[in-house]
Amino acid sequence: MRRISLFIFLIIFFYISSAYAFISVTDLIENAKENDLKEVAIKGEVIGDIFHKGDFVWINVSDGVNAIGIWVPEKSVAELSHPGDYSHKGDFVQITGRFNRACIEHMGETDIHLDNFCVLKKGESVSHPVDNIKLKTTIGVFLLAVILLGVELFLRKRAKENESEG
Amino acid sequence: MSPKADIDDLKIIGFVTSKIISGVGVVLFIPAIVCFFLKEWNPGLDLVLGGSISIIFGFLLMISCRTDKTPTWTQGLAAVGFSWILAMCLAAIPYYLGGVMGSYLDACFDVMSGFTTTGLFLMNDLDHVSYGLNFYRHILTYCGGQGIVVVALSFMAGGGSGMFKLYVGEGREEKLLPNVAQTSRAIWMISLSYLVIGTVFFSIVELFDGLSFWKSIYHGSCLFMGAWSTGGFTPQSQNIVYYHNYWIDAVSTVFSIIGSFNFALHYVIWNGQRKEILKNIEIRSFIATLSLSFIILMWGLIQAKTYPGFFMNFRKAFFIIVSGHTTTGTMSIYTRQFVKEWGPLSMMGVTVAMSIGASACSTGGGFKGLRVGIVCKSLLQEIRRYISPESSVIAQKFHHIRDIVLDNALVKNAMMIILLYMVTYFVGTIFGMYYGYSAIEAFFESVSAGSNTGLSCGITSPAMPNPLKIVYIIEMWIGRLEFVSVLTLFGVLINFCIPKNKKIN
Repeated sequence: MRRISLFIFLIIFFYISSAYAFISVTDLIENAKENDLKEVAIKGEVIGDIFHKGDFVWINVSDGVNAIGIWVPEKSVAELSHPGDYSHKGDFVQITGRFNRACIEHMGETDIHLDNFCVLKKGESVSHPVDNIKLKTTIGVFLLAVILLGVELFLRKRAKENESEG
Repeated sequence: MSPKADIDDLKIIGFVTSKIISGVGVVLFIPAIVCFFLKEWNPGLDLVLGGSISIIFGFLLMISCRTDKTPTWTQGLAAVGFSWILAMCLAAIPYYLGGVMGSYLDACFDVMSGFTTTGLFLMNDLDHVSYGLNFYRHILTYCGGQGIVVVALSFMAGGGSGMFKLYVGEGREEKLLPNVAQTSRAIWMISLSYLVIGTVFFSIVELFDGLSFWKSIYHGSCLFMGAWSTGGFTPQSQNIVYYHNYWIDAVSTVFSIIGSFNFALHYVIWNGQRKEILKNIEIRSFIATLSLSFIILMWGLIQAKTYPGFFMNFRKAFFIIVSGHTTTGTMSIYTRQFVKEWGPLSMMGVTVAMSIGASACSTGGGFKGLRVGIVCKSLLQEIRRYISPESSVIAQKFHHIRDIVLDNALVKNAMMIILLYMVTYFVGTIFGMYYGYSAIEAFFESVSAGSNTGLSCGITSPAMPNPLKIVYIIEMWIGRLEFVSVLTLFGVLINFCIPKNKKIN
């Protein structure tokens, strides 16, 4: 009985795995006609902003090269912590849903309508420590530029005075 | 200038260039302030360093080339061509130091693309670039739209008699006001007024999408600068697709069209002559060529069954054709969709629109509606001449701010510039094909670079061969300056380098 259960589990597992074979956003766009209106599964980082449209929101998920819009019920994104930007590494998510090459509901947009959503890794803050050498160099060069600007203005003023005297 | 270029000529060119470079250096401090305000210290330091180096470089150039002489036409035009290249190299410093570029060449590519309002980019991981550095991209394109000489004339130089030559060198021939410094300020007044209006419009749409007030202002100002300057930059890698909002598309379309109009037209409309918009040859030419290229594009989309239903085809086609024709280059589709889904006929429709481009003396590129109008009028004049009695005198006029009699010199000039653009597009296409891209893709990308549009079918990427990046940089540069300044610069350099005893008189 245990062997039969294991066998059935494996069949179901492989069936689901093949049905939701992960595809990169880049490949999805490159082969949009082949994937049109099919259930697809993607993994990627949520980037930028979340755009609210009534009970739904738009999020954008990037595979590092290309990003695509995901049409998501608002309650599904409650567990998102940070979309990625300069100061944050965004939540790394797994999305399954219907891919639309030219979505009829959204006036021809290329998007995915969400079926299932799972946060694989929470987003986190990214620090950008200031490089001391860069700081000192910049201050030095900036001061030099200010002094030279002053000299330039002085020279220009003197040239004008000479002109008016002459 | 003497027939043989000498060291004095180079000194005058260097002196004029020093002033423009210093002006560009000052501009770099604006996004630096944004960086410090947002506590983005590293990109802020990169921008301050880049700006300071530009000012120091400008000063050293000024000291070593100091002269009281007024530049001649040749010197002034050559100085403009040289300034754009030097400005590109210096303004690329913050990009390169920021570590967001694969190489210094890539940084130069993005700066030239910004200054020339092209909009192609090679920046890595744009979605994680700091807000300040991203704002810098848009400031570059906004200033480039007015022209870096206009920037220098407005803030640095006095606008003396030699300055008109620099103004003309930047692909502008029309003075809005008698004094060129006043003209520069008038251009800035128009642009800044629209900046406020456009930012408010875009921000309101973003606020409705649930963005915070400051984020709405940030996205709004960037989107406006991208649309108005016909640069096509947006803060995110997906371009306008990122927003999933047709109101953003609509507002962007409106400001792209307004931005593509001649500054002289803006000025007379602002001064109450509203009927000018109905009579102006550039507007009529724009409507005619926009309609023609739109029909080709729609035909291609319907033939390829790209979108279900007429309305969806119309929406996508209208946005892209306006984006292409105004040389804005904002993308409402993914780059590869041009090749994979739109097909060759649609791509050709967009390419025709890009090659013609915007109005003269505007922020846009291409060989300009005014020249197309002049050539078409000339063609009509010839046809009328053939069908009229031999003794009849056929005179043709066109209206651009005032009535102008069409003469041979005007037609010859227009046709020569159009021919030079065609040659540029062709050379870029050959290079693209050499590197293995199909003819239609290579032609599309070459026209996009040469006309300063920025729509891409996927060729432009950090992985693109370096020689092709250089070809596109040159295309953007000469396309923006409309050949004269660049050809003059090369003429002066060649003239200087040829030894005197070998000179052919």
